[in-house]
Amino acid sequence: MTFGRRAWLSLMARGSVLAAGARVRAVEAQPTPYAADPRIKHIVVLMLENRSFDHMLGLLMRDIPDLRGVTPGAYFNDAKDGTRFYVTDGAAYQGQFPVDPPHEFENVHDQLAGSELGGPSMGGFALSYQRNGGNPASIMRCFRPEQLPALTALAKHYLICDNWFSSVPGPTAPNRQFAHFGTSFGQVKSGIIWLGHGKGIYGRLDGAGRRSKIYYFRESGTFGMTFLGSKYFGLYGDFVADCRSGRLPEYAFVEPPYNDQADRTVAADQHPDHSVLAGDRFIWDVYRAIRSNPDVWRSTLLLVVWDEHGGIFDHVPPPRLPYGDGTPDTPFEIAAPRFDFRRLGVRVGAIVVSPYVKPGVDHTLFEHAAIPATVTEQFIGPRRDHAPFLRERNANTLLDLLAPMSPRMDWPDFKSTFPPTPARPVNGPPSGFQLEHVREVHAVLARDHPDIARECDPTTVRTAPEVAAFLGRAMSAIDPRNGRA
Amino acid sequence: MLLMLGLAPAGHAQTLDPPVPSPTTSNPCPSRDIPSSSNLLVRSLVTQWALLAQDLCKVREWDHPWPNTQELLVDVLVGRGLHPTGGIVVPGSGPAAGLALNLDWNERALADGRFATNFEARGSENGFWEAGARLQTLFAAYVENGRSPQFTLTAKHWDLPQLPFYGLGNDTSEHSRTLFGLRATEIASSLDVPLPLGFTLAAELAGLWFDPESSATFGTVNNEATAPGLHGDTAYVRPRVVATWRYPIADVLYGFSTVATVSYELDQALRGGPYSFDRLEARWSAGLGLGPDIGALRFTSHLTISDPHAGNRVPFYRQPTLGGADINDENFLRGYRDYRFRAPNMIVYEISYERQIIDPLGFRLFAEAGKVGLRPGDLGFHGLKSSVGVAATFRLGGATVAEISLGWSAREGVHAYATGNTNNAGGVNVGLRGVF
Repeated sequence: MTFGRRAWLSLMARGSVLAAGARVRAVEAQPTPYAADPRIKHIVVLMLENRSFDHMLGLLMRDIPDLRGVTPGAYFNDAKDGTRFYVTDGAAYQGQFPVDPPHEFENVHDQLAGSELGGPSMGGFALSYQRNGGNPASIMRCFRPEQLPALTALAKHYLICDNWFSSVPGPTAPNRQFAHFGTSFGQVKSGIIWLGHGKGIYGRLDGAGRRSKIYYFRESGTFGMTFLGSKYFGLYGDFVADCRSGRLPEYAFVEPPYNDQADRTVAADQHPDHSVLAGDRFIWDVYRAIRSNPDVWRSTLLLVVWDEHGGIFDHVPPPRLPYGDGTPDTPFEIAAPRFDFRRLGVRVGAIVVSPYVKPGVDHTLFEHAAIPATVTEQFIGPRRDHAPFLRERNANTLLDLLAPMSPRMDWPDFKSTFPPTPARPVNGPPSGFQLEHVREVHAVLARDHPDIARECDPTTVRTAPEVAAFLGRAMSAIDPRNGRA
Repeated sequence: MLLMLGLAPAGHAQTLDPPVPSPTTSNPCPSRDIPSSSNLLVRSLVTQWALLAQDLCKVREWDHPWPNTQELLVDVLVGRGLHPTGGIVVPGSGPAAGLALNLDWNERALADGRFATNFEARGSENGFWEAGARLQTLFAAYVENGRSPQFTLTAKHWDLPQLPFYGLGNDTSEHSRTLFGLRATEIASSLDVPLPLGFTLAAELAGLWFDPESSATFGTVNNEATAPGLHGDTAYVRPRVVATWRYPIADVLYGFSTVATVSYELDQALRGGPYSFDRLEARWSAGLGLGPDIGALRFTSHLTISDPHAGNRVPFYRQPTLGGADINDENFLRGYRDYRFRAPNMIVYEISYERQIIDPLGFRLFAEAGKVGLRPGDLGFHGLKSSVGVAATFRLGGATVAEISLGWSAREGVHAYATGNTNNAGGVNVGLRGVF
């Protein structure tokens, strides 16, 4: 019971201050003056797949108290039978999501679990996953910072945005459209959206005499933008070469390998159930490519961000914006199911990597329309003249995060040493998930077999083998078919 | 206290706006409960059915039926479960259609313990059919430049009732065409290991079985001397090693890139007669991408040398072919018919220039020269067959994904071919589905 109270008090103490700050930023997000930063010649965006903020970065709160993250046990979701599944650590690189967590529009609505009395409670993730055939405990598990060495190194060395939300409570397609077009053209679900809607930020840059490229892997392609002309594309090897040679265009959008490639490059998009560690290596690879040329590094802003939460738990309710989407004359709305484009999607991780940011956390409210908004302000002109859709016009830009300082040329404290795919430790400590399981089973034992429960003290469980022994003993008592007559 | 109020602690505190009623969202197409089953096939099919039922509901009930229809088509065609497929069996088979079943067998395991299988069967209206299965797993515990070792196990059976045969060597006539049938089965396992500096080493062990069928004309015109191996079935065990070097390690569209592959195999006949041989294959490809407005140049060469063991010969159906498309759908000497020249040894060179016209259309000019040889010494530059041509290309993602070509040769005139590859640079969800 203390989990909820502790979390509540913590949020009252910190969250209200943050929310107030974010509100100020959001309200101030009117069309801003043309604010290009002369130090920035390149903006690079690496957009990964389907992981929530808490899942990837939430446990960093252990090291960065200002971060709006989580601690194990701080939040829970109820499953079908009322069983509580708490936030735990020890997420697995792969194998945790044999069933893809649902994240279509109607699924996310279930996950937010909004009510008529209040905003989203964020209480429906476990049930949503369970209804789709998954293990509800998996949806609540988060990565320990040391499990993701590249992400953690960049997060600690540069700037974490802990108030970045996916643009709509829905799947990949509409959210990525916000990154490319500043709008999803009134769509909230999967499907081909871009048809007949122009070239987005890439066409605008071209019209302003600026270069842009989408870099992709041969066997996985780009998501939804392949209709653009040839000059807008390069393969990932071209990105590495362009960084090294200084030919990087003003705007570069990097597509991770979405599938295992024919040359045996492992899928690194981090979409469940692809290897999160492979994605971590890929993040480092992109960063290293930019750093391969000091001149390019000195003039680059790199954004590492996830497109949406992929059905995985995050504890921060997505806010409603004071504006929706559409053109100033024609707001977008959906009748069935009804949606007015004011509610953002679930929070995702975002890290701004640049020689002009200081280590820390920024609480400014962002969503994916901030990407074309930033590119427009930096390379094209004022958004009031160049951004056709409301979300992009009103978005905060990343340019405000750049500090007046000489370029930082220091490297994160990380030397490209990635852990091997973890072997299961024989005598290692149990994961938070395992301990949670022990607590649950003991609760059942206490209810049904109090005499046996007194003999099984869950607080004595210290190692993974002890977890196995405890569960074996308890389950034999609960269900005699497990081995005890 | 919060819990006493029945509210989850995942907080309302961070809401940036005052609590307001959330929009009333009708949800006419909720996702369905999927009953758990220990049977993988049942679970895959039930999941697929639930997905398709939800897609159908969205098409009927939601706004914007066209995007939902596209989603339905994507879920019908790709992903886990059972799907219809299309294409060809081999060049000359005619259009083929069939079914594919994609399963993850131990989906809860880590990357280096997982394996996925694909089963597929397809047939054409001309009576060609094939059925196969492939098991693939990556060993992600070892990574070299983002690449991991890969183990592949394949089993495949073809039934090809009518393949053309023009005789062996370079001097055959277009009019000497006869038809033979071929049934073949292959079971192979391979392990590919990426090494530093762009090298990859692969080892393969395969068992193969071939059963040629002579038509009445084929048996009359040909004999063991002109078509070795035509009278009976053969079985092989084939160990093989393949070394590949690529620069740069990651694929590029622009600048210089090259891939060189050398393979050596021992085809030891276990039954059917004296048909054992060794085979060396080498392929080198180099490209120079100058940019979409200037174009790209590419040079490719391919060499095959077969060395029969003493007193042995290479069966005619195991000999490489040049002209049009070969049995692996590789296109060289497009100014000639499919499978036009056949011999144990082969060399071919191709140089091409490709650029966009107006996206997504482009064109490709190509010139090819090559020959087959009954002996390795026949593969000199003298007497090379040549072919030139032009292709209209369809480009997506800045790269060609399909083309229609006209090839011309001085001896045999003009021939048209259509080719496409299966990479999903199309990026229009299809091909990416199952991931998203």
